[in-house]
Amino acid sequence: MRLVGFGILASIAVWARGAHADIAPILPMASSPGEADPSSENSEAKGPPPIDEVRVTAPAPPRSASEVVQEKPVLGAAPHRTASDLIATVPGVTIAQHSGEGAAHQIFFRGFDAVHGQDVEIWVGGAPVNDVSNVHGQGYVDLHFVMPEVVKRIRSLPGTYDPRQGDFSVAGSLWLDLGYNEPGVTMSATAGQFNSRRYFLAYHPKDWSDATFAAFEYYSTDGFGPSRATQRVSLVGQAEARLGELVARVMASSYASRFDSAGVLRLSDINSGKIDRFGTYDPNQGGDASRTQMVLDLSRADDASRLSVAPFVVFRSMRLRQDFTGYLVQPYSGNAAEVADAEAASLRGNSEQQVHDAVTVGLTASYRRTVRLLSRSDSFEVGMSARSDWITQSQRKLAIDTRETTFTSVDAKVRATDLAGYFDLSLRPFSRLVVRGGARLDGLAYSIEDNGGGANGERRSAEGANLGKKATADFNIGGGVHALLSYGEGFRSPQARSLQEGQDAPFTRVQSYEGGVRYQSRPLQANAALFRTTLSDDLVFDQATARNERTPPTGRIGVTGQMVAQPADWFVSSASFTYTRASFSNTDGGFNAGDLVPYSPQVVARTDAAWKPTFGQWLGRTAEGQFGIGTTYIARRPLPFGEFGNDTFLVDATASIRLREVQLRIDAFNLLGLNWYDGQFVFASNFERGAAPSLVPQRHVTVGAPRTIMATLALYL
Amino acid sequence: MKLVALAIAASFLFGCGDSTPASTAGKRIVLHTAVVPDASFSAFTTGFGWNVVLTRAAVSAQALYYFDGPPPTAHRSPSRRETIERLFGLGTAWAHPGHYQAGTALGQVILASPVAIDLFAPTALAAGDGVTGTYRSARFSLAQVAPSSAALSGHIALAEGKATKNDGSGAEVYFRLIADYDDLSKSVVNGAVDGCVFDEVDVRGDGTVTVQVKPSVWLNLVDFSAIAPGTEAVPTETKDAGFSQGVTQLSAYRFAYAK
Repeated sequence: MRLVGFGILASIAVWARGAHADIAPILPMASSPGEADPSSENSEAKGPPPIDEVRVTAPAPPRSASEVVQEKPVLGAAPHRTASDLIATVPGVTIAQHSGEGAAHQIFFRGFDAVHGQDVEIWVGGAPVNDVSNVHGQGYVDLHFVMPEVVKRIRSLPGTYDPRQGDFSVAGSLWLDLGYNEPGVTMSATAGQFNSRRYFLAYHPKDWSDATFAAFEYYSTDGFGPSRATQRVSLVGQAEARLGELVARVMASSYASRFDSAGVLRLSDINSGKIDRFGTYDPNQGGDASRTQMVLDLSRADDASRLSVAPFVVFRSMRLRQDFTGYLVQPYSGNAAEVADAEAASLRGNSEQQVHDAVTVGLTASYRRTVRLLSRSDSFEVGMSARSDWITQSQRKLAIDTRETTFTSVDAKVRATDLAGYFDLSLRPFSRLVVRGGARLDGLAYSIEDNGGGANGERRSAEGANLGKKATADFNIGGGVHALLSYGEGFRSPQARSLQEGQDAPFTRVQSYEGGVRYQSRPLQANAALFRTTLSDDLVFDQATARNERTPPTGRIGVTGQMVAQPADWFVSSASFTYTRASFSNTDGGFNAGDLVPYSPQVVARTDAAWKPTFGQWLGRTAEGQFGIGTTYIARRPLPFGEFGNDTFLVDATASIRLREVQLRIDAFNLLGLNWYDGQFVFASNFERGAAPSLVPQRHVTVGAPRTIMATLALYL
Repeated sequence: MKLVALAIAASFLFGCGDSTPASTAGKRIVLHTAVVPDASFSAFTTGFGWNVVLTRAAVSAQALYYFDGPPPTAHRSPSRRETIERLFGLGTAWAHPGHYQAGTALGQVILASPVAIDLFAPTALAAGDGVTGTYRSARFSLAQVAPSSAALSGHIALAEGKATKNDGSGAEVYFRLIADYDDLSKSVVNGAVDGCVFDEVDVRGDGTVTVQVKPSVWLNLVDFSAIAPGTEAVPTETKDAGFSQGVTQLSAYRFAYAK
């Protein structure tokens, strides 16, 4: 399960001889015997602490050729403002932020427009991040609670090949592992354009592993245009210690934000000069969010087995106010009175207020042990996952001018439960071949009470189950090259409010296939793969309703490749390219088989590179520099009606110099000053009350951030 | 180059040939617009039993919209898919019958300034834009400001002619019925005549939308007995509630598409 290191490392703890205190710090881990974990080098630079424990770790074996673990050197090469920025370093991932700097990012992953997370399962530090049945969108993921500095690594599991992957792992899963390796106290202050301010404070005890730290962040900005101000404050703390034979990790965090949003603009209005590209039709958009959570991860390991139990609790709150369509009268299903009410409300404006409050309680548990079936390295694992969400949510239309509530379409209480069990086998029938796989059974239950729209408080329930089979064949060709074939079945749960009484929960069934090769040596890692994913049905942004609606089955095929080179400690580079073709498989509801699925870019290319020179001695200290660059190329984004969106090439760069305790850093985002569009949608709107508006669906955009320069002064004490 | 080669290989491996279209559903189209009177527009009998012969008839327009929502008067035959769905209880949930929901706008003509449509000298309007789809209903947006046109004499709608009572009484009325925006606003919001019939058609490309205007509907509720007789040279110019209502009747405008 997601253990110490959140399942990213399969580790075996070997207790050395000697007396132990009942509670002892976990020392920096080594990625292999006698080899320092690169992420812990600063801890070890202060001199080796007394050794009372040696932990031998190895990367978990990959489930597919394109599985990637992005480590700190790559994550820290280019500047990043949020953890969402970090996931853009994962091959095939690109992000947008169409609802303001404080709102959750829109995620695109391998031809999927995951919107805010419906197709990407994300866990951070042992806690699930996807909101079940979020009123704004299924699987909503807000990663602002975690600072980029404390993300130690990201494990990207494209496809659905691992039995640990659960709900929302449609395009794949991203598991973020937390750690901070700068020993002592870190204090930094950042100032930048648009009155941006950021203060960061962290502490990491030098003799402890980087899994133990505490970090605090405060950020505020006026934004690069009207209605773009943001404030957020966040705290993340994690400690890992040994309690007798147990290893315990506790992670707790709290976060709150408030933000404004400029919303969408019609591209034609920008091009005609009718509105400034940084303007807004409705200055009252924005929202707030909070998240408080705790994870307790207890594990016990010996030479042959490992047991883990990790309960978690998450308190979530979100409010969004958005206006995508102005005064457009939108279609509404209901009786005559309801339709009349909805239309009357639309005539006063479609400013939608969405509120989602949830408490999530759950746990993950697993037991793994070696068994001798076909070889001495065979093993099996059984695991369980439980998650229960108590959700209160509403969606209300507000008059644009008076902010008065004019229509309530959702006023619901949802209780969602997802219980799962899986088994996972690893067999080596031949010395060069390892077969991994198993099955996962998820049972999901929902209880819904809705008082919005035409609902009158009726309580209904629905339940369903999904069995997913997984298999990976890993053939060692030799010379560090492995060929992998993978197959997996996954699912996406339905939006709870859409379920009828007694309905067998209609999961979106996912099948993933992949074949490819991996190469790994000390300075170079590379992979290339062909992949295919099919869905029994899909959710695609609909221009008629301006939200995601169910569509016929879809399929995605593509090719991906990544190369990471770190020939020396002072240089790292990573480059990836992903091409995906997403199309409908059946003809239905206005879509024809073969039509491209709109919105997700077909081409995503990403590079990250950092050069860390040493400039010699100054004031008795070594002057160390870092020059980093990250580029993102996004192309061929299909839009409805046979159109394609604008291609984008963005460059972010950083330069810093550090004299042990003091560091000065300059970060530049969108260095080339590209005028670009962050979000692109096609739908109908009417922001001209009473006039003869243009009502035919047309392109709407959210404007991307202009060139932004930030300067940071950091002290390391 | 290697990546391109891999992409090509992927296409073959996964059966992605060249036969599948490389675009999303639908496309944008150009819709030309023609406004024509119905066949018997200049001579008809009203609901009050008056035989009317028109000599002038004009209306001003600001915009035309075409929607996929069925008009409130429609009795559309269900498609084969809908018939099958109904067998399994999966029919589309429409609003209460009689309450019109326009749905998505598929096409439109937005005029830069109000235009006078002279039914005795019909002309083409500016081309409109649209997208492919099934067109079912339309909106005729009357102008809020009268265009400077002799055909309208500064009004939003105008009909002039002679009405003769067909009861043998020989009563004749020479009339000039006019309507301004305020008059029409008693019946419609923002001058929008909603729910007009668009002869249902699956539009797949550029074409021409023909708007058929029916003055007989404009005048159907006019009680000419309440209007001074006037003369042919000096007809009685008046505002009439029946005329204002008639101009805003959705049945006064019918839309059709042809390639």
